[in-house]
Amino acid sequence: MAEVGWKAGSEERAFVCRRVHLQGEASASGVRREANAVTDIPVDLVMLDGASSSLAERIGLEGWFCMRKVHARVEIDRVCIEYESWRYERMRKVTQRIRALDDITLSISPGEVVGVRGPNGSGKSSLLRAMCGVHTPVSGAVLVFGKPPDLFDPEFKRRIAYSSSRRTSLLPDLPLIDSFILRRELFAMPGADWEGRMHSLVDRLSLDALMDRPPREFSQGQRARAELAIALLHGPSLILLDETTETLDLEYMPRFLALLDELSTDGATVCMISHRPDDLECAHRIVTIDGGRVVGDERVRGEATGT
Amino acid sequence: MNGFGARPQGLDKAAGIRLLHIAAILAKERATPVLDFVMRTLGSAVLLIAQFAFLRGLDPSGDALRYLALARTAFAFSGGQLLERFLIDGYMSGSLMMDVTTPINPLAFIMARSFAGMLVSAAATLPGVLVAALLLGGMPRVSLQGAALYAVSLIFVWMASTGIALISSPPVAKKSMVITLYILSSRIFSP
Repeated sequence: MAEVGWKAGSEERAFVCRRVHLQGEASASGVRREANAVTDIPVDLVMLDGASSSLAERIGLEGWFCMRKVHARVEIDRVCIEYESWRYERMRKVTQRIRALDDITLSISPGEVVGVRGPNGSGKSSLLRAMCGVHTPVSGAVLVFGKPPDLFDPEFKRRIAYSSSRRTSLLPDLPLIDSFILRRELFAMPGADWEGRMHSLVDRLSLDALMDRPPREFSQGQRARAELAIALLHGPSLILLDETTETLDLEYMPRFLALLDELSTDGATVCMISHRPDDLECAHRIVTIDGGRVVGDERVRGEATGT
Repeated sequence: MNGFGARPQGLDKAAGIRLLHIAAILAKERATPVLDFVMRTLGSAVLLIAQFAFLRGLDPSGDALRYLALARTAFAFSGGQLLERFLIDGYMSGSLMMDVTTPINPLAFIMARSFAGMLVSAAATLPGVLVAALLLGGMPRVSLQGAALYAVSLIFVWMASTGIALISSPPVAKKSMVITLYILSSRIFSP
C-alpha cells in the first residue's frame, strides 16, 4: 500500500482512525475512494502506521484510514442582530427594529461545553441561531469552523446540530423509528453508520420501548429524549441545544450529561441554553446574557479536553 | 475538493431515490392516522355528491358537472388545504427551520413535502370526484391529447401552488427559497 504523507492538523482538526475493509486498488487514491464510499466524513489523507500496516499485510485488503474531523471553534466578534417587528396603530402598520444581540463578543473552543442562561427575551436563542447561520448579523462577525456559518453549504450543515424545545424534528404521527429513517435520508448517512449510532443513542437514552410509538403519544420528557437522539444522530461537531433539556426527566439527566461529556471529550463543541441550573452541570463555562449583552462569563469546570 | 466547503452536489440518481423515499415517508405521515384519512375521504365524497347533485339540478346538460370534476381534480393536485397546512404548521412548529439546517437542498425538501401533500390530497379527493361523476353523469369527455394536456396542466398547477404558498410563507421558508436559488444558479453558472 502506498505511503501518504502526514501533515499535522491545526487545532480545529483532529484525525480519527477507522478500520475498513478495502476492496479497491491498493493505492492512495484507491484507499481514499473506498473510504469515501463508506463514510460521509471527508477523507483527506490516508495514514498507515506500523501496526495497521502489518495488520493489513496479515489479513490482506484491510487497512486503517484517517478521516479529518473538523472541530468546531466558534468566534463571535462584536455581533449585533436585529429583528423587524410590527404592530397596528390606528389601522396603520408600524414597523420597528428590535435589537436581539447587542455587541456580543464570545469565543468557544473546540470540545468546550458552554451553558447559556439569562431571562426570557434576553437574546439566548438569537445567539444560537446566529451560530447556525439562520440569523445574519447586521454588524460584527460570526465564525464557525473558521468561516461564517453558511446555510448554502451542505457540509457545514452536516457538522451542526440544532435542537429547540419549541421546534420539532419528529414526525408526530408516525412511529419514532420513521423519524430516525427520515433523518438518515436527510443527512444521507451510510446505513451501517446510521444503524450503529441509532442503536447507541436508543440504548443510552432508553428509547427502546418508544421506537414503535408515535411521538404524539409521548410525554414531554420522552419527547425531549427523542429530540436529543435525533439531533445527535448524524455525529455533529457543533451541538446547539435551545432549552431542549428543560423537559427532560430528572432521572435521565445524568445519563444525557454523561453523553454530552463523552461527545465533548471526543471533540464536539456544545452550546446549551437552559433555565435549570442542574442541566448546566456538565458545562465548562456558563455565559449569562441579558438585554442582548454578555453580562457574565464564568468558568465552572476545567479546560475542555477536546481541544 | 473533497471535504468541508465543497460545492453542493448535483441531484444524482441516489439523491433522487433518497428524495422519493423522503416524500414517501412524509406522505405516509399525512395519511396517518389511517382512520382520519378514510373519514376525510368519505366526508369529501359525501360533500362532492351533494355538490354534484345540486349542480345537476341547475344544469341538466351535465356540462357544469364535467367542468367541476376537472376543476376539483386540479384543486386536489394543487395539494389543496394540505399544502397550506404544511406551511402554516411548519412555521408554527418551526420544522421549516429544521429543514433549513439539514444538508438536503431546501427547495428539494419543500418540493418533497409538497409532493407528499399533493399525493395525499389527490388520494383523499379523487375517489369522491369519481363516484360523484359516475353517479350523476359528470364524467368529462376529453380526447387522448386533451387528457395528456390536462395531466401536464396538473403538474403546473402543483408547481404554481407550491410557489404561491412559498411566496406568501414566513421568512424562514423564503430563506430556503433564496438558498436554493443560489445553489441552482451556482450549479448553472459553474464551469
